[in-house]
Amino acid sequence: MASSVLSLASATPSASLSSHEIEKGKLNLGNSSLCFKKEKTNPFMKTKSVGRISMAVASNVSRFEAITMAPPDPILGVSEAFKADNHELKLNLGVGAYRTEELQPYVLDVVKKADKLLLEKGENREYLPIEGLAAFNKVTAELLFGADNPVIKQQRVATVQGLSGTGSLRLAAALIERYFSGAKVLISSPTWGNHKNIFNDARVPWSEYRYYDPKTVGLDFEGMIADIKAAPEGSFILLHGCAHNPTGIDPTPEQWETIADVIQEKNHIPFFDIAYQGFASGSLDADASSVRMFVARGMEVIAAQSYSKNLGLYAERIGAINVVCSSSDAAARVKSQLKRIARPMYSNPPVHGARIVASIVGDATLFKEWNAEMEMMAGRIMNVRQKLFDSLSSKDKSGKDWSFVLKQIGMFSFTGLNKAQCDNMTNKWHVYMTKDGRISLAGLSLAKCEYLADAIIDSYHNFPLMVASNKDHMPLLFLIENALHSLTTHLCLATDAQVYWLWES
Amino acid sequence: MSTASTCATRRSWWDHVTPALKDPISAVTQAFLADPCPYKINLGVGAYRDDEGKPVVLQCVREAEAKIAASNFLESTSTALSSKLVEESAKLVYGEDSDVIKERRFAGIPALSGTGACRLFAEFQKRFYPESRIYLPDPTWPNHRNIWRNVHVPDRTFRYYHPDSKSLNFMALMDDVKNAPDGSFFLLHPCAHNPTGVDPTDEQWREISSLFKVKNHFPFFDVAYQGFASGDVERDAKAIRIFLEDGHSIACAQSFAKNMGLYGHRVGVLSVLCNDKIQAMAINSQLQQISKTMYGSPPIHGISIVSKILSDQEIKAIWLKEVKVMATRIHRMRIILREALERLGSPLNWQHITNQVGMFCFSGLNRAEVYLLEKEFHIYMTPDGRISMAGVTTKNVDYLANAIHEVTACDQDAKILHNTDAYKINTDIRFTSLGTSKARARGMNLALKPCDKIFTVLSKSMSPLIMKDSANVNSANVNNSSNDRWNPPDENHVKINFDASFNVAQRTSISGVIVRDANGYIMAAGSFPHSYVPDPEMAEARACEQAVSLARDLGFRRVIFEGDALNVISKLNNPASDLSEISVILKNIHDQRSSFLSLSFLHVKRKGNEAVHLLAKEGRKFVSKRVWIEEAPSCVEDAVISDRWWVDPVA
Repeated sequence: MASSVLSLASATPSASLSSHEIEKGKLNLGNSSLCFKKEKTNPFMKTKSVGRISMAVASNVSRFEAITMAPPDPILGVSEAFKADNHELKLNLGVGAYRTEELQPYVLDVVKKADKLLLEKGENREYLPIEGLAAFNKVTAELLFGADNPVIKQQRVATVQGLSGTGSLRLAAALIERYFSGAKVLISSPTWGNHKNIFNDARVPWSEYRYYDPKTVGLDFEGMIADIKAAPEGSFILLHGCAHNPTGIDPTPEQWETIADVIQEKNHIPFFDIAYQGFASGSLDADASSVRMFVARGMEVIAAQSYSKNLGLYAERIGAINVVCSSSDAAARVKSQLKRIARPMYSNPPVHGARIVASIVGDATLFKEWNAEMEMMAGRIMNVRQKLFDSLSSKDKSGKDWSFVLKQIGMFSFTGLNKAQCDNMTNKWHVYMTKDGRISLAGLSLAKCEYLADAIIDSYHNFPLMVASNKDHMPLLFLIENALHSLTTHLCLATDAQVYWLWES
Repeated sequence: MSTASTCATRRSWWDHVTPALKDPISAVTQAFLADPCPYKINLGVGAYRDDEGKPVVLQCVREAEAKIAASNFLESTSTALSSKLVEESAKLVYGEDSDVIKERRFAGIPALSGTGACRLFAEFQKRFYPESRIYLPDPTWPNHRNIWRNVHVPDRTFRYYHPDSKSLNFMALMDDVKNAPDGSFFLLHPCAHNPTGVDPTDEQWREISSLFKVKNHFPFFDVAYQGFASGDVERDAKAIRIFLEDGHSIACAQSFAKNMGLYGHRVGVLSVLCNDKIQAMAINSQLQQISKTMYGSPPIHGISIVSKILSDQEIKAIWLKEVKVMATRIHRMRIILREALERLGSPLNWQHITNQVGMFCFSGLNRAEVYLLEKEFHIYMTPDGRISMAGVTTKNVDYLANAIHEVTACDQDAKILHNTDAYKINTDIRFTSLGTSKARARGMNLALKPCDKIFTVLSKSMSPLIMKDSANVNSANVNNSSNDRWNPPDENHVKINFDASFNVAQRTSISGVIVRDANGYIMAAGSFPHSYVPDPEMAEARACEQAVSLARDLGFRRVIFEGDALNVISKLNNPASDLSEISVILKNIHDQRSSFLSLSFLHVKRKGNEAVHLLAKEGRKFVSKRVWIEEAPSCVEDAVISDRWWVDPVA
């Protein structure tokens, strides 16, 4: 046992180091500098000793000792804070899920019916093919592009079932990483928080294009066009097909045409994330018109779909990625590569959600019912929007123009409130929302509109920092939050205190 | 606008995307579905079938589904369901009364079945041990390699299976575990190893565990078949419990695809043992973050079914009984298949069929035999000879046994191959056995009354097949002379022979290429190493590609390429779109056609390809590629001289 004797000497320092670090880790979980270093080195790979001493050390130290808390998801954080609040007037405008007028979660009747049919049928639970349920893939592409679209007849669309919007976006991101290495994805500023994470984890470089203009609480169209023009030729431009998340601000049809012109001119690829088809206007076709216009121009387009919102199938994880190619041959090749990416990620997609969507869209009666329910949901949100605008206009005597509330579309409204004002909303008024000023109108009822209007007006006028023009502060705030985000782990746990400090200095 | 001009400069954004390699297991299913024969058997996919060959929805699943109906669309319930699933799954794998459970010393999140759980762990490993590697058993489920490669974690193999004994190569396994650098990550199958069905004994697990301890390795268990090996979920967790007793830090990927028959619902769990609750929270948050950018959360329907089954004592009891039924049926089929083969007087040893456990039987059938089973008997399995025992029923087991007996016993060459080199293709076998197939079909017709229809179908469908194959070979061979010796090209052409030698263990191959003129003199030769070669067919395709590149580089314009891989040659001569693994290579070869004034691809039997075969073997000695101009290594000398058969050897 010569080796174990030898290892005594070499193992001792590592043993003492390890226990020392355990202590530090326990005492001070928030100390990032130490932990960052540890993440990059593998103390166990370096240990040369083979004998029993290092073994004893090993059993006391977890291999994952160096792992620190990941930052909490900002949206889920809002829900948790909401749950903890006992105030009777509390209002959760954080989560982007539909609620009834009574603010209860809503299961579409048509989904209940389809689910019951499936239960009665009791079909087998065999694996789906990697690309997903054929019946689903067919209807989902038809729903997006229109059943009589030539790209469908010519089989120029590679459609692969994905795990809702996120999973579909990730497949496309991996395809970009593999076949367009170095190509950048341009995302709107601001955008859904997970977009950045998805591209980061897929190792796809991204940058932002201007989208939101805090001055008008509307679209910064010139900035958007300028940034798309300035991007290196052949970039991917991520566009929200309808009901932009989080701002609720969509380009007009004329503006879409200009966007398409610029993208075509610069040889970019349009990459649509269409998470709210039918939910924005109540009409499936109207909400898909932006995507269809690009396709009609003969452009090659990527489009990620989700059925979380428009069918309320949030947790079933059902969506699809579509790649429109210039030939059926290219589409077949792209599809095979998408399958190859999915196989080592999850093998094949879940069957239940796909069967529900396929049976609803594939059945004329259910499809009609779905359209009616969607119109009802979109209608409720539009009513709430109108009521909120009316309340704001009548209560606020300062002459501020609140019309942006009406101009925005879909589930969300971007209020233009800055972080400090949002904090006032939560702390004083018990209104929970994400700190970028986004409110989910789906979480609002007609009855609560006046209360919310009071809260917004109070926060807007009475919060001292609002004296300064918010134009200067909004981008700075975003900068800070982005910087914090990219530092991962600890800094984000520090949150409020630090943000304030940075801001005021 | 400039629309028109941009469209013209670039036809499609996706032109450089080539077809992806087909997944071998999905490819088997596709071939099976395309086969119109009513007697076809699918032994490829690892999904349970009842004795009627039908997919099964377990009673426990129906009961659970009835209880949860429609409640799972409410998003508020999903967090609670997820944590319940994780907790119940951890109990299942670590033991209800283990300290790990009592002290809640584990992190875990639901995952997309076994694949998703492995992928999460691979991403997690990459994130926190960026320089580490993963050691996979050889062989293993083919997707394991893809999973770790896709997250850029290099994979290594450790020896596991002994092809001769068709059992565990324990000594080699221990050697490889010992020789791996300290603190390596190892993937282990705790029960019902896929694809071999060979598991270590408890005693062997103990030894593996203590060696892991000494080496400070990290064991990662892929638990895809808990309950399927023995019929008892507790018994099947024994390996994990042994590691647990020894105080290892471990992680488990659990799948409920097989043992609950929830394949398409994608339910699984990844759990990682931790020191304490605080660490468990940290790891949980990291795992959640990884899944958040891949797919958000896992699908709820499957999660609610599994957590209902595991937490409702009544339903759980039904489930445990059903697992037992499934495992027992499979075990019975193993016994019947083995007995049937023995009754037929097979000269081979089939003990391993009953020694192996779980859903799969690693039959030891080689690629040629698997091919024959598919083409002649409509029996489909993966090319490595893995039989999914779940596809075997009392109705088809005799037919299957006969077919296996036919393809393994009829041909002496095949038998030798069967015993020595399970991976090698010998295309010649196909001809000898096809030649006798009619007689054989008649013989079997007598032996197997209930199946006579198939043989009329068979003999009808088979004869054109034989003719087509030989017609291909004939038309390909311009000289129309015997293709079992080397024939010189005409004065205007050079002939380039290629061959490959394939190293199964390392997945590497050597391409050998020899260029000769009409006199049979060597004009050039080359040997080229390749890595990441999945199988011999790919090795042959690579060799052909290399031959074409060499010819182009050296400026030969009129060329005949010749090799002994019939498959590759006939695919090259048949322009029909081919979606097999080698299609990418074939396309590369076709793309180079324009460099030549005349080129053709011929098949020659192995004897006629001897010289280059020796060169491909010799090439193993060289680390990098070698090219010789107007000479070749001395090892091929004799073969090149005897290839000039038309010259009097004495002169």
